[in-house]
Amino acid sequence: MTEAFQIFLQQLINGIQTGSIYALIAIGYTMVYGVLKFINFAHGDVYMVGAYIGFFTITGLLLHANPLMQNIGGLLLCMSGCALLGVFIERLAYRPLRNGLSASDAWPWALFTALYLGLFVGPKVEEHSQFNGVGAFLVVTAVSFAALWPLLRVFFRALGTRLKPSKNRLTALITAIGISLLLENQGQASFTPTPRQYPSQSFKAINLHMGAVQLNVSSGRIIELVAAILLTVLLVYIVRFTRTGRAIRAVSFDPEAAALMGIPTDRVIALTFIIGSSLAGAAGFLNHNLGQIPFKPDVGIQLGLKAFVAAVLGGIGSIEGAVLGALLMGLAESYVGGSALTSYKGAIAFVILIAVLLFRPAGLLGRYVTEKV
Amino acid sequence: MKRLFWLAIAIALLFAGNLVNNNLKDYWQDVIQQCGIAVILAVSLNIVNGLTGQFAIGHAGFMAVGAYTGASITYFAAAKFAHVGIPGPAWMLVAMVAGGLLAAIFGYIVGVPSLRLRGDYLAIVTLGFGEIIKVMLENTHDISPALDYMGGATGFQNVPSLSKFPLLWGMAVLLIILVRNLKFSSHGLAFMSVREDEIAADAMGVHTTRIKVSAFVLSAFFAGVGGVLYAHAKLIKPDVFGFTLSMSYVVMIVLGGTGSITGATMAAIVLTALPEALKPVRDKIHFTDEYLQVIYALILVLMMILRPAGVFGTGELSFAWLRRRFGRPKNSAIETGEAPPEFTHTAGERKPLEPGEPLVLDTVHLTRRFGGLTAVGDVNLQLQRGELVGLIGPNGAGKTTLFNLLTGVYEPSEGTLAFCGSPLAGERPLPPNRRWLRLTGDVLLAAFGGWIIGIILSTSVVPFIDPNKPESLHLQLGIKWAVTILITLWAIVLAPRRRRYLAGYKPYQFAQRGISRTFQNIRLFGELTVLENVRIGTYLRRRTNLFDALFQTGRLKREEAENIAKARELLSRFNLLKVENEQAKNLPYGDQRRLEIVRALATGPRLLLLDEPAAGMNPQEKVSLMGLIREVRDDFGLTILLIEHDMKLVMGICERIYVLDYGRIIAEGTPGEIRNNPKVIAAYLGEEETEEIVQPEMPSPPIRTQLQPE
Repeated sequence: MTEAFQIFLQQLINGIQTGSIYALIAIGYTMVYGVLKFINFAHGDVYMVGAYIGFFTITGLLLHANPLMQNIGGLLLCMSGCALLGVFIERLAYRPLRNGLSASDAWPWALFTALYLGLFVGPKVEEHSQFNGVGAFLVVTAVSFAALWPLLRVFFRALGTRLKPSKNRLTALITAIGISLLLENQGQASFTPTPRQYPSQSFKAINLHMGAVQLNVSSGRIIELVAAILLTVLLVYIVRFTRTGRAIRAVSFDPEAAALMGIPTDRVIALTFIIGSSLAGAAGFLNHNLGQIPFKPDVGIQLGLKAFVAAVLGGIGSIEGAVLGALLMGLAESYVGGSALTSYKGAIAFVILIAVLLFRPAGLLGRYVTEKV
Repeated sequence: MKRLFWLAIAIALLFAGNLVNNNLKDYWQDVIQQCGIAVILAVSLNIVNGLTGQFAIGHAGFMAVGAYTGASITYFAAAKFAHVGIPGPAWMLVAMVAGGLLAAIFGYIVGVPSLRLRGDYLAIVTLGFGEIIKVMLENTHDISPALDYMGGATGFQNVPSLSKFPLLWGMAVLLIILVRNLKFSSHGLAFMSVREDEIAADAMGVHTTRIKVSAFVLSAFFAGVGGVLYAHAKLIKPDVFGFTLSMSYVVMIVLGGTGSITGATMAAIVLTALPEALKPVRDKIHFTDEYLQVIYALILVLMMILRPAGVFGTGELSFAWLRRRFGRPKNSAIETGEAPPEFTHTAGERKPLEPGEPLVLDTVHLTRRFGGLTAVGDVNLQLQRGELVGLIGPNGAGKTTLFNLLTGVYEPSEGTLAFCGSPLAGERPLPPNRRWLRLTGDVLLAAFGGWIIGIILSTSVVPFIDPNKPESLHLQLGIKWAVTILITLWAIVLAPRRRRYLAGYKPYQFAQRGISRTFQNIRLFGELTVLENVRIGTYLRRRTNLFDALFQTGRLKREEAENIAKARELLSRFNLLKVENEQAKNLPYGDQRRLEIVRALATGPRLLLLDEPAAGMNPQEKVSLMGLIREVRDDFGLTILLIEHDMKLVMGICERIYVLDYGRIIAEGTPGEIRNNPKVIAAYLGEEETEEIVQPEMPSPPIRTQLQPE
């Protein structure tokens, strides 16, 4: 029986640990859903990009010489990189979709086009000039950005007067899918499909003795769990107890009323993307750096889907719900994975989801709002 | 005869196409095949997402069900019945019907519980369903070794390739025609009314849940058929039917224009063929597939920003549209081929009341509480046939809540409501047999659920125990049955208490029985035309069913003609015929209010509830509306209850007035009596020391204290 108990505890720890990663990603889904009422399908890919940012900075800048640099520096780099990416996505696609095109939407598109031009024309320039690869890329990007920006400003202003922003939520969803496809394929192209692994670190194995029960846990995974919990607590603190958090909650309750009360809605939405994306980046870094799990550019799809399901399970729009749902799912997967039903591990998330939604149509902690007649 | 002619042309075209197709390179034949399948799937998904406005993203799941069913049939048929000599295409038909039906059954099972979820929750359940089907197909061996022929994760080998051009494209064209028939019938309008405004659709007698389930089942059926065709064209593997495939169909219909069949078809063809057509170009400029995908994604994003409604919006490319767009401008009345009907005064005089005739509306102690707040308390309303009664009261008195009780939007917390002598809402125990049926159903469901949970729990202990000991087997069985029995017992204890067995008719049933309403904040089906709005009103008196609509039977055509004539008659009566082809959302405010009344009248009600019909109208319009309401009452033999703030209007036309304040009726009588009633004056202007009006448990809102005279 002690053996059974030991396996039980081991699975419990695994489950909580997987759940904490899901939770970090699920929070991003739930926050964006809260303010914009749509499923940001690109979020899983932000996670993927986060994992790669960490990998390339650590291996490129040789951060793994120093464990502090590898873990703390990598984490900060990942989070800030993903935050930038999140805001960029929001500016590029979601804001024009929401408010209609205007001249202020010109810079993301100009930058985007310029980056691609740098990527493709850069090597040609490198051949015919004394610039090195990076220099050529930067020069081409800068020149084309400078040329494109004013052009697009004029163009967008003219176009914007003719377009009506869409209220259809399907439209937003398709846009998110488009962004997701874009990131995924660009990831395939830039990072190549070979699996990558972070430089390994030697973590002490911790032996826990509790009477006859003995557990082996890698200290790396404990750090990972603690970091995830800290980040979640920090986030809940921000949303619950700060002015910014109050603004986020106001916008998610009623964006129009919030705007009328003087809350800069667009800035709050951008902030939401910053927070959500940086947490996804943190998840990517923690899971792959400390967990030593190899990853490929398609890693975000399945994980993103699971995290999203977790968010719905807990009641989408509710941060506590997302954490609860994620933990439940982590546990369920870990126990099912350890049982005879292990080949159904991929489906268990959805079975639980459907079962819960049948009895609580708005998820575990969500509220079902009926429409007023 | 006309139909036979078109059929002949279609068949001729199909065979001509086949001839061309057979002379193409294999590669292009393959592409054309893919396009056909994509068309079927996109058009079928459009029934749910476009017409009905639901949000399903698990289409590949139904496709997989169809594909594996159909493939199994032809796989075994080919082996077993080879000597009988039944040709492959015949088996294909059997396979398509079977695959479609099984997918439809799955659609029903998924749809019934999940369609009460809204928007994204529904989406995620359908997505989950697709993923579960995928995982099940990957683990066919674990489910039963008898299913090994399906090949599990490696894919279903040796399926005969029977999806030939005429069959495939014949099905695609047939599907397009069927869905088009549906879209332009009043059944299709009912689908679209659910998309536009569910609450209004419900109030017009459209059984929204049933419509949604029908749409879901219909769509699943065609997805199943598409799946069968896919299975006989390409190798089927579980991971083909994943999230990506489902999403590609969603992308097609959104790009083409949700709700537009033309759009879905075009987008399906273009999105399938374009990447193939671009391959030579790609090879020439040394582009990788990933960058092609990046461009595709970029086009998707740009398209959504620049033209969010899709290429075709909800419109269709049709001969009529082409004629309108490019031909001579025509008068709308001429186009439909008939002159606007002259309204003939029908009844004119009211039938006298018979002694003993039941009251049209009779409520006893009708009460509705929201938490601790009694929004409507102890209301007794009695309306006789032919009366025109007003309901007035200060803001927040509970007038609209009372309307919602009278139309079934809310269930009363206490009291009863009878309409023409038969109870519609209120506490009334279910007949014993229905009660037992429900109880048994609940318990059986719980037992089944408990059994499944028991199995899961008992298998999850497997790794922890020694399988060779007999005790472990006992433990497993013990866990399983203990869980089952405990959950069943729990259900037996809770089931009788869980539900309040109310008579509980739904709004659509109120409408069907003859109570119709308008809304305070206008709820028209904005994207639909004026005429279509009124046609939805006539939908609940239909005698045809969905199959008539799909196959355009003679009965349906007659009924449609009748309904359109009736709708136009009503419209001409209210002077709206000249705008019959305008979208409802583009009408001026006063016209929208009148259109709501027309739509309510089209349901053929006996009791009409008007919620502030004159709001936002100018004095002239109000006067003409007053005349109109009275005329309508006389001509249609209606009873009318109306809420209105305009005292001149209420006092001018109502024969009797109820005054509501704080959810209670404080006065009732003729306009003259009401005008001089001190309680009413107090309620409107405020007065001190009126204890019997202001309830002691309810603090008066601040606005009232401000109104009090010093």
